[in-house]
Amino acid sequence: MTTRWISVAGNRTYISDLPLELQRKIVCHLRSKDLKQLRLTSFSICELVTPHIFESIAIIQEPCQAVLQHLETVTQSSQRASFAPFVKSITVQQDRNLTIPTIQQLLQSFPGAFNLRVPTALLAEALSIIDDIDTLPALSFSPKSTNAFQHSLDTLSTLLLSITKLTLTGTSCARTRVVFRALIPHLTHLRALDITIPIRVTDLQQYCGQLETLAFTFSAKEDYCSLFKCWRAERERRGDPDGVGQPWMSVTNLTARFTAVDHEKLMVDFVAYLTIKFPALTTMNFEPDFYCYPSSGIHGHSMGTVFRHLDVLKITSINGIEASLHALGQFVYHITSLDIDLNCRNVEMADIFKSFPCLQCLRIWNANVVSCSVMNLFTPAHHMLRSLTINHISEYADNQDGRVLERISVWCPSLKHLHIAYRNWTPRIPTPMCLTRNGLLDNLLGKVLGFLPHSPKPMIVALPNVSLSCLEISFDPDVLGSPGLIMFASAASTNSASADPRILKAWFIEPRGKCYGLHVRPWGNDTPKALEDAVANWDLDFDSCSDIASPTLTHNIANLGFISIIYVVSLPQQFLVTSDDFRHSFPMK
Amino acid sequence: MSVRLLSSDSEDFTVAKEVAERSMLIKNMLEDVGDNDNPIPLPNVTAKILRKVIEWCEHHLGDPVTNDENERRNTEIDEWDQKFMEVDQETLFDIILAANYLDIKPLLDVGCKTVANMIKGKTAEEIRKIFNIVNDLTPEEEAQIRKENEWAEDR
Repeated sequence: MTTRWISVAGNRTYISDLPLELQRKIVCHLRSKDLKQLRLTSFSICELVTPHIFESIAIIQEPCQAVLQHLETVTQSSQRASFAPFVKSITVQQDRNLTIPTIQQLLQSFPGAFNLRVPTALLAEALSIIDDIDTLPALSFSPKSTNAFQHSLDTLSTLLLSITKLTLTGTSCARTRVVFRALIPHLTHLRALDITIPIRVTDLQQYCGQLETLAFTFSAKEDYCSLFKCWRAERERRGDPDGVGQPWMSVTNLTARFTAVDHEKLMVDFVAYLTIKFPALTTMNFEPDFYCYPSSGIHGHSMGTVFRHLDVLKITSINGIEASLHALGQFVYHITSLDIDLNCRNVEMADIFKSFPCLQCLRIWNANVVSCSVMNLFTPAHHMLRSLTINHISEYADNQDGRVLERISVWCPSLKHLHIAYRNWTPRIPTPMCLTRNGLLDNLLGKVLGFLPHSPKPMIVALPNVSLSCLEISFDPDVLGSPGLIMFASAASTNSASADPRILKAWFIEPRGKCYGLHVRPWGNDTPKALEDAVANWDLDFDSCSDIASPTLTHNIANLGFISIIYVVSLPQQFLVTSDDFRHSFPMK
Repeated sequence: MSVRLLSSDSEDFTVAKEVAERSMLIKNMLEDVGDNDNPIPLPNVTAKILRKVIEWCEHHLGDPVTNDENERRNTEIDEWDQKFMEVDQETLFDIILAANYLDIKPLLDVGCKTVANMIKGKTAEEIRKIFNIVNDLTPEEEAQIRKENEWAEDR
């Protein structure tokens, strides 16, 4: 079966010769931004693309009524099929006119939807007839109000019957808490729940026994302090601690939000509680907001509890990264993969490696400052780490851009995959330790760069102790305003007395505008010979390279924004250049 | 050991067996018929396209075969394949059809990714031009589609 792609008269549209399944295969390689443009090309392509693009809809800027009205118009006036049958996930942001009947209408219009994300405030409508907020906790309403409340609850629970994944966003109030507590017994079918409403874990567990994914804000007082005390007492008197803990075995994916201002030991107790309560976890996102510094010698102790099945751990930290690393390290010291997503906080690499000695894959997102301050010659090597990503918002501590990476390479000799971002390299000029004695950098910094009209930023990084199989550098097109050169040069190992760097490979990188990615081509094409010679043969007499500064320079060379040198022991097998919409691999054969 | 392949326009190709066996269709046929001097007829592939397919199979002879669809999908087109796919649209789509018929999944992926790359970052008008597509949407329908596009969640 084929779909018709109507062609311009006289010109064949070969793509229409493809069977539908191959056309779908092509569409699968496209992101929604491109699919949206593709939908606008013709009727039949719109029909082809629609199922791929409308699995998730987000009603953000308009009231829901606008969507409902649009669906009605399409059904009545257009021959096009509606996108409604393909929708599986609906997100509704704050909408002042959002009502329970509106959500009901939405879910009727999107019968395949099973994932609903709505503001928590919506629940308050079920109690809108109650004026006296003091009556809420006791639910001591008049018979008329009770009936109205029951009716709203029935409506809510009926409309949520088809939903297995529910997210309630935003803050809660007294009314929403009352309604949610009354609603829980009707949510037994849920498989995933994400809420910020304060409620006891045990109350949730009682009714939502089939939950597999839970995102929850834990309360020290309500949830774990008393339970943990009982558990510890039971254990000390050699009773049945697991009976006290009532493990919630169905939950395998947990987002644990936790706010406290206290001693680090509280954090340790909290993690211990999680191991008791959720022993089947395979994935955990740990989100502490914890104002304390680790105190030496007080780490609590794990009492033998560990997450036995956990293999994906992410720490999303507003505060308390140090305490989190210390606490989690005691319970998941065997973890091999860790994601750290910080919000303008420092992270010390040595702390991470000390807490997780088996770590093979580490990704640091959104960190403010990555430091290696305590690493020194006496720090033991971390032989397990094979993959490291330090993403684009990160910076390195103390003007150490190149030096932090150099230390990481010394400390993690097994590193095979390194993903760094162009933006990491601020325009400072750190001289990598392994290159301080050879003076060759001076040639580049003092002579070659001086010839170029805009004094490109030199960005230097040395990776003297690792043999990478893949080096990935991501570029933010918004930041990369002008073209640059990336060169791989040979580096002697740290212990070697002499170094004789040569350019091994080089690439010219040029932004092609915000939506069009990057243009990358090998060094040597369109590059003035004199510049190439000057950089490739470090001891060249630069005074003879007068044509470098001549007006005949190509536009690209004249506008070089940066020249970067990556010193490596051996070329990585693969060099990946990526940006938001661009990912290109350059094999180093 | 070599194998003979017969294109739809009756051109006879002799290729190494391991090259031919990059095609699952041919591999299965060879297993069914055993050693045989008769050429394998490929009625859906012209000589011009078969030559290109054989060139691709020879270049990728030593490549590890992965059945992981996600891995194949997320791997970028390497430089050699990019150059290999620098052909006119008719040839490109014929290669895709041949890869599908011969069941050479990695070549099919490269072909589909090449077409996808031709679409990436382009406006609707540019896509129409590239593929000779006539816009048969009314202005009202186009407006409706634009409106709907706003609701599709970016991924």
